[in-house]
Amino acid sequence: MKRFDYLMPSSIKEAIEAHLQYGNRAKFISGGTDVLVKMKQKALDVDCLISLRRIPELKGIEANGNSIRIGAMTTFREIIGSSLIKERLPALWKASSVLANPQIRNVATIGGNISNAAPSADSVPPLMVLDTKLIIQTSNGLREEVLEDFFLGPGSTKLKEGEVLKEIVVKLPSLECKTFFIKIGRVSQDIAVVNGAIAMETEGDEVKKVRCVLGAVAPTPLRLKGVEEKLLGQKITPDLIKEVQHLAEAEVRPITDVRASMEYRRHLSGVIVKRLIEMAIGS
Amino acid sequence: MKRVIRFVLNGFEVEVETDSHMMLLDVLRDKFELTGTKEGCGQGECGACTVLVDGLAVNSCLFPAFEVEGRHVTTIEGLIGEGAKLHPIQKAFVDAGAVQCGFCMPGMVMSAKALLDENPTPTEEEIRAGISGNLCRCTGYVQIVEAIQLASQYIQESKRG
Repeated sequence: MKRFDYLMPSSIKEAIEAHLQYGNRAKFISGGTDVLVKMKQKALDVDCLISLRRIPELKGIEANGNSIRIGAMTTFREIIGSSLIKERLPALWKASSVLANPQIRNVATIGGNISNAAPSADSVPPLMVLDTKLIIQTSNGLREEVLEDFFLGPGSTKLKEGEVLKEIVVKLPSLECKTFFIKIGRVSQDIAVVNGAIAMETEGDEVKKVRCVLGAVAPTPLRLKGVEEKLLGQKITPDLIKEVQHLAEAEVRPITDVRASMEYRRHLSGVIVKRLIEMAIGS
Repeated sequence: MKRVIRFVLNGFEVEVETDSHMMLLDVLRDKFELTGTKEGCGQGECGACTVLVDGLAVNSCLFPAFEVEGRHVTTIEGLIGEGAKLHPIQKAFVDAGAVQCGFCMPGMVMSAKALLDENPTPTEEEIRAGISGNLCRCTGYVQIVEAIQLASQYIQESKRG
């Protein structure tokens, strides 16, 4: 592998200062399961990696009023081990438990998964169907981004040079709001062919609130606004589900790659949306 | 960038000078000549390089060497007991006929160890999930799953005395 320096700062301040010193020749690294693979594949070429692993302020999961705060350097193993996440954010828990394999989940972090900005990132749809914001540390203070607006394209986000994703703040859904996650891959530990999540609240038979997000079907995780509008205020019937399934197929913009064809991803998008709705009304 | 790192390797405190771009796998194989840990894909897909860091299974091919500073690392060589006795998991793999070419075995055994340390009596489904990060191209996994069930039994029996 190409030679690079490896720094292990113990505070965010130190990490940002180091990054500013190297400029665009440096990159932050968390669990490294994406960054190091890209370095090995020569898809990424930097002279210095700045590890965020030894910064305690980036760790931990805690309830804070009506939201849950997840430190960016929290590993997927830690997320799966959290009873708070399992009870209150079950779709995120599910996505975390099918992400890659045990070895990867033991080191890969939620902040890394988000910052890496893969369209297929498993942790993103379950967070994006809820009100999730990102707290970002800059050299002169904190700033916020709404998760839904954070992604610019594959591998590209609104994080600027020298900025560190500090924490993920998820507003807790009401107890009536049901959330589900589905991933379809060749095998589950593989990168998703298509993944998706739903958050839905019904009153009587009618859909009162709904948000639906699919991954790996567009350059960034995609909120299906047409699907949501169609469902809102309606009573869920088999006919409506069929209609919404076609809407989802029309709304996605997938590509063909080694994992699946555009056509198959389009078909799966409809199937996943159908199943997510069925899960949400069945629960 | 060079640096001397100190960590506990298979129960022994060690220190070694290494480069910043080296992975734990390189240090284990090249500096300590512990060649039981294999490099397969080098990209975190195959699990042949699996070792335990502070008891958790990780891909040593994607674990920067500097990051092991102050940690406990266990490799396949660390499972051998006094008098070069096989670890119950190793014995179970032999007894169940789970070993063919052997290349995936060190990683597979380390994943089995991480699983059984956490969950001493896993179901078949839990075993399959536990080794989902380890590829074996010979066996089809059936004997490996049986070996881990047998290992669980051996460990339970040894605890009962």
